[in-house]
Order: sequence, then C-alpha cells, then structure tokens
Amino acid sequence: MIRGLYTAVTGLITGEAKQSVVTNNLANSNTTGFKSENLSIKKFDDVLIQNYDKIVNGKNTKNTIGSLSMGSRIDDVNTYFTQGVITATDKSTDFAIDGSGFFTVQRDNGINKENYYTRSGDFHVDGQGYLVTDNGDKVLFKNKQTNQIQPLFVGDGKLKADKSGNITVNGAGSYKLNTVDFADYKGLKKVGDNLFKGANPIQDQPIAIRQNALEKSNVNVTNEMINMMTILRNFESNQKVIQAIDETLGKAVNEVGTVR
Amino acid sequence: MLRLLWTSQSAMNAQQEKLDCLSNNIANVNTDGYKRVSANFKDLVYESLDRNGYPVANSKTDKATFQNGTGVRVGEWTRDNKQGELTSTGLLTDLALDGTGFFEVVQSDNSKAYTRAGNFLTDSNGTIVDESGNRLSIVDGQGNNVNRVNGPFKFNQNNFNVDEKGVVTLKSANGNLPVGKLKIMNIQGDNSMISIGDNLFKQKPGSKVTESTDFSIRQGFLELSNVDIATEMTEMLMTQRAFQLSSSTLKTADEMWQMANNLRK
Repeated sequence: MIRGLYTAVTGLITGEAKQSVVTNNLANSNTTGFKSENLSIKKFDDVLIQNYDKIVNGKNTKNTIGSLSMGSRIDDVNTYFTQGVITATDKSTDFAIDGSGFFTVQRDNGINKENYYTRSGDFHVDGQGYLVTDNGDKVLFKNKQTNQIQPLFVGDGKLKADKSGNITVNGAGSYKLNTVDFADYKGLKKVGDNLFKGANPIQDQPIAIRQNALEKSNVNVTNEMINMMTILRNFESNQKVIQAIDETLGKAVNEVGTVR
Repeated sequence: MLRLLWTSQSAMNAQQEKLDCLSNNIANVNTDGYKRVSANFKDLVYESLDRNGYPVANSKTDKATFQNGTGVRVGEWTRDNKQGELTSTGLLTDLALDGTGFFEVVQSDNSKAYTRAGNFLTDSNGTIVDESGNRLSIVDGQGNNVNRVNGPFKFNQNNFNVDEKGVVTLKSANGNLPVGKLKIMNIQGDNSMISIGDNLFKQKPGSKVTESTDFSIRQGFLELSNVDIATEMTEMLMTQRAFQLSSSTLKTADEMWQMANNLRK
C-alpha cells in the first residue's frame, strides 16, 4: 500500500514538471523566435513482484505475481524547431529566417567573447553604431571582401538585405549575415534571452532571409491549453488515488483487528 | 509549485509592460513627430530539471538540454524612427523633416534638445520657438545661433522662407536676406535618445551627434505620428489574450497547489 502511495506521488511530480513546461510555453507565446518545448514522460522500468505466501507441502514457496511499474518519470525535454509565423514589421533592422538556420550574435562579458545563436531577429543600432540585439549582443556578419566575421557598423546608414542575407549599408559594402545551421538540433541548449548555445555550427548554408519581418513564437496556444487541462485533471486523479490509498491505510491501521 | 506561480507571474508582468508600451503609442497617435516605441519579449534563464525529489531517467540527467524555462521578460524598448506622414498646413511656421535627423532647439537653460515635431511659432521677441518656448537653432556662417532674443533678425509668421536643405531666408523690401541654416542633427543609434516630454529628446551621455545630410525640409507641412493604429490595436488584442493565458496558468498552478494541500483531509 505504501508502494502505491509513492507511485501516485511520482505522477503528481511529473505533472507539476509538465505543467511548468506548459506554463513557460504559454508565457512565451508572443516571444519572437521562441521554439516551444514538450516534456516526455516515461514509466519506471517494470519490477517483478513475487512473494512466499504460497504453501506447498507445508513449506513456503516462491510465487511470482507479475510485473509492476512504479510510476512515471521525466524522460526528456524536446524542443520543436518548427517554423514560426513570419509577420511584417516596418523596421529595416528586423530580420526573420524562413526555413532552417540561426543568426549568430556575440556576447562580450568583459573577459571573453562568446558566440550564441538565435532565431529572433529584432535588432537595433546601438549608441556605437553597431547592429545589436536587445541585450547589446553584437550581430555577426561576414565581410565578403576579407572573409572576416565581424560585427556590422551601421552608424546612421540604411540597411538593405536581399533574400540570401547579403547586406549593404547605404548601398555600399558587401556583407552577409553570418547565419549557421546545425546537423543535430538536439544539442542546442537554450540559455535565455532567446539565445541558443551549440557546438559545431555549419557555416555558409543557403538561407532565406526576410528583412522588415519578425518570426513569431511557434507555440500553439490551443494545444498548450488542452495540455494544461489534461495535466490538471491528471493531477487531480493522482490526488484522488493518494487519498484513496490513505483511506485504505487508515482502515488497515485503525479498523483491522479492533474488538467491538 | 512555486516555480509555476513565478513563471506565470513573470509572464503577466511582461504582458503588462507591453501593454504600457502599446497604450503610450496609442495615446500619441495624433502627436506631431511622434515615433512609436516597440517592445519585444525575451525568454528567461533555463533551470535544470534534475532536482531533488524529481523522478528522472538517469540516462538523461547529464544532458545540457535537460532543463525548463522560467518565464519571459520584455527586452529593451526601441524607438522606430520610420518616417511619419506629411500633411499640408499652409502655415509658414510649420516645418516637416522628410528623412533622417532632428531639429535642434535651445531650451531656456541654454541646453540643447532635439525634436521631430515641426509645429513652430514666432514669439513677441521675433524668434522662432516651439510650443514650449524653446528656440529653434538657426546658425549663420560663423556657427552662431541667430534665432535669439535681440538677435540680428526679427521673424514673424510669414516673413521667412526655409528651403529643402534648411537654408533660412528673410523676406525684406530689398529681396531675400540670407539668415542661416537650420541645424538638423542625427543621433547615432536607435536608443541613444531620452524622451523628456513635450516631443523633445535629449541625447544620452556619450552618444554621438552628427549633422544630418539625408533630409529635405518642407515648409508649410507637418510630420504626423508614425503610429499605425491598426497595428497597435492588433498587438493590444494579442497582448491582452496572452495576459489572459498567463492568468489561467496561474489559476492552474493555484488549483494544483490546492489539491496538494488537500491530499490529507
């Protein structure tokens, strides 16, 4: 009976963890370039139940009852890298990627510079004249003349981008958005601020860029709401199971063997 | 369970801030020279799911991606310096900027401020001022502001002309007198301006101000606000619904907690 209690509790905890992922998805239902997540739940490996209650020839013998799962556990977090809706904005510093690929941004924490990847193209020009994200991370470009990867100085200039990410500032210069792709998206780790961290980026993949546009979050609100309702009711069922076990336990403790 | 509450709370706060931003834009839909502010969302840091008491599959706990998010916030508000529509007013004191840059005005404490609102007036001292009495900078060849009290020229509402490049001339009996040139300044960066109210901006300390070349001035025109009411309303609806969603996740978290509390009756 105690075992049943713990099994039901694993259901409660995984329910809470699932709800926490759903809550985060819904919180980011308007976040540019956000990719929704899902928690997969797995059952604990079956255990074999056996006892020695069976008496053969006056001796207790092993009696196999069957296998039993001890509840559910959190298996993995899956991020869905499906395309978000692309909406037009009027800002020339807004970019969206249609299809696979990521923008590269460089975060300078004062000690070293680290590259991060993002789908969120809501850039602007900072006080020093460079194209940056909201957090001040510089967007990286490839200078097509020197083949160097560097931040882009825009100053007061006007940005023009073509569909494959080639950029000119005031009609001059020859730059390309330094977009990358990954062989395996499973290794990409979200680090907040709409950024991803990943190893072994593949450079110079063909890419489709839209200027004056932003990619919306790919969270499907209806699905998440249904998930939320399912989780809530599932949680409730588990609570009822615990209460039932508790009641049975109470009876076993207080009523079995009472003298009336 | 607290994590669920906090995540929902962060989302509600962020949506609220977005609504603040949108309502400010909508309030300024008729403000001359107003530039809309946009705010975008950013997800918050991620937290590992390998916590004490969490039933997890051992094989996955060392994976970097075994984590869940903790909510959302609003990123930096950025100004969208898109050109506003020009409308004809026929008043010679109305100036509109078509292109990049800002009119420079001198405030009463002699500090400089910048504006796109071109609804200027002339005052009893014969100077060109904005509605708050700040003087428009018109510089002569020596770089002195000629639009000052007791200055060399007296302006009234129909005795001066401004050409496309901002050169100001004064009409007189002996033809047009050259006066000076309007100072049209550019501030580097989209967020290097601090709004100080009355359609005025100040530059952030350390930001670079340069003279703008890419503009033309239209006398007798005004630049309207660049707020598109349809966009703002759509965004407002979306934000409102997102707020509603977050409040429903909050309610769910609350209900779940209540159930946990009621485990033992």
